[in-house]
Amino acid sequence: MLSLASGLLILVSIAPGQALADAQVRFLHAVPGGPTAQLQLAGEGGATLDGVGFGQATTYSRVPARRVKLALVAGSKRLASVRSSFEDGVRYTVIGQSAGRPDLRILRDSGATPARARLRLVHAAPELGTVEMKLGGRSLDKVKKGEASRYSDEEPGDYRLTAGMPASGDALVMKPDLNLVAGTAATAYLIGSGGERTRFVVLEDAASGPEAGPATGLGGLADGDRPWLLALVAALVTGGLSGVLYSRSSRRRRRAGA
Amino acid sequence: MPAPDRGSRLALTLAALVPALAAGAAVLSLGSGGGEGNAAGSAGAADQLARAADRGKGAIDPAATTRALAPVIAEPGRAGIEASPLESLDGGIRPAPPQRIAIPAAGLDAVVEPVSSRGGAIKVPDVGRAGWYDGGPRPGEIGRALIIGHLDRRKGPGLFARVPSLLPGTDIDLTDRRGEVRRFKVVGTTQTPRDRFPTQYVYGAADAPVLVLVTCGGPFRPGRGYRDNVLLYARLAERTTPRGRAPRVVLYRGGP
Repeated sequence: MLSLASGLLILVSIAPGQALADAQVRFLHAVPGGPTAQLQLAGEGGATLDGVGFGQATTYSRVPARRVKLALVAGSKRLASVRSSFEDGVRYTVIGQSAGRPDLRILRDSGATPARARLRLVHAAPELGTVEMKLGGRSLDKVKKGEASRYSDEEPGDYRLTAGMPASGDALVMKPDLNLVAGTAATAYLIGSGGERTRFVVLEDAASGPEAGPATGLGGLADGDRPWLLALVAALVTGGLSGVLYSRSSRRRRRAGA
Repeated sequence: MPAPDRGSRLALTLAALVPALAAGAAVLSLGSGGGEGNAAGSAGAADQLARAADRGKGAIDPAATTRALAPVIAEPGRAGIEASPLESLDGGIRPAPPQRIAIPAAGLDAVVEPVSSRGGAIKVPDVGRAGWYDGGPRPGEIGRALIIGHLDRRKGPGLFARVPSLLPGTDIDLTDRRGEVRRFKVVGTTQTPRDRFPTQYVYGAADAPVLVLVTCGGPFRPGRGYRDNVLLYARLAERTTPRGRAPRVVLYRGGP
């Protein structure tokens, strides 16, 4: 079991000489008993994300898309490390979990499907064996400790999500008010044990929608409001009038002089 | 040099007016178009409004809106009890897709048709209709339901011409295909460049049923359309069944 007196640190070191592009990474703290943890991105373009406590996650942060080395660090001590590649335009969740010793798992998060609600289940509760996840009483998947299910497309709405032993059918953990939103993808993480209450943490992975704003104007209001045109006409009239007046007065002066 | 006579003085005065009028025209031209102003930093305002619409609390950017609304939830038999606005109002039954939108304060009552995305943007509805983005939540579901409408036609105002000027607290009624009416209260509006549409604050999950109305704003550029979008955020206040029974009423009071 981890001793995390001074906090955890995820260290991500970037291999040099690779092209920089953007991926998005967030960190979920699922190490039972661990105090505030941080996701640190070392090397070129490196950054440190906000610290989070057990059961909490950071928001997504943009990181360079390249081959990286991730390290789980408590204070100055590295507890675990892993290498992975972050691809441009892809979102990842890095889970700090514990199965006897610290472990890191990197999940590639999915995009959303319009009008449907996508749901994935992740088992990160080390003291529970394989569990059967049910959504609204319907069996979704049997998930082994430390593993993730595939995304499934569900009808949006409010559900009761449960995890129980596959044979008994009894729910060990329940989230009674899981709201699956149309056009989003989400992951339900089963976390806890080691003195921490076992529970679900649900994070939104993506929302579906066009990138560009709608073109909902045809210019009718702009057509009726053209002060520059009015002013231009006024200026031309004024200029013409002044020219006429000037030529008349010049003519009058010439006559008076003659 | 002889002093200019009266006619020459008048002519010179008028001539001096020409550049002054031209300058005035430029100023007027820049300042026209209905709140086109500076849309920079509007993603932050959209973030604040989205949060305020979600939770009914939190700081509101004075530039984006004038006032936040704090919810006080009252139910038959539970009057005066404050409850979390995070509770689902519809249980496990999904609201039907929207059919009509009415904003009495703006004299608006129109059909809502479902619209989807096409070519990286939301397909725009007919000029006289509003469009509900059918890839997202339905109005009344937890999450952000998106409805778009025209600011103007080729000549004259469009369906959503008065949306940018709606004040916080204004009622917006959405009737669904089952005849249920959901009343939303305006939280505030903000303006954002159309080519930097703040998708993270427009689509997706929320803690409560939120309505986002979208129309155009800013200067009109011939051939390219309006530069900006105006986003209006509202949150659910009341639901009425077809029989007129109000199973749950959420009243709003002025916030901090």
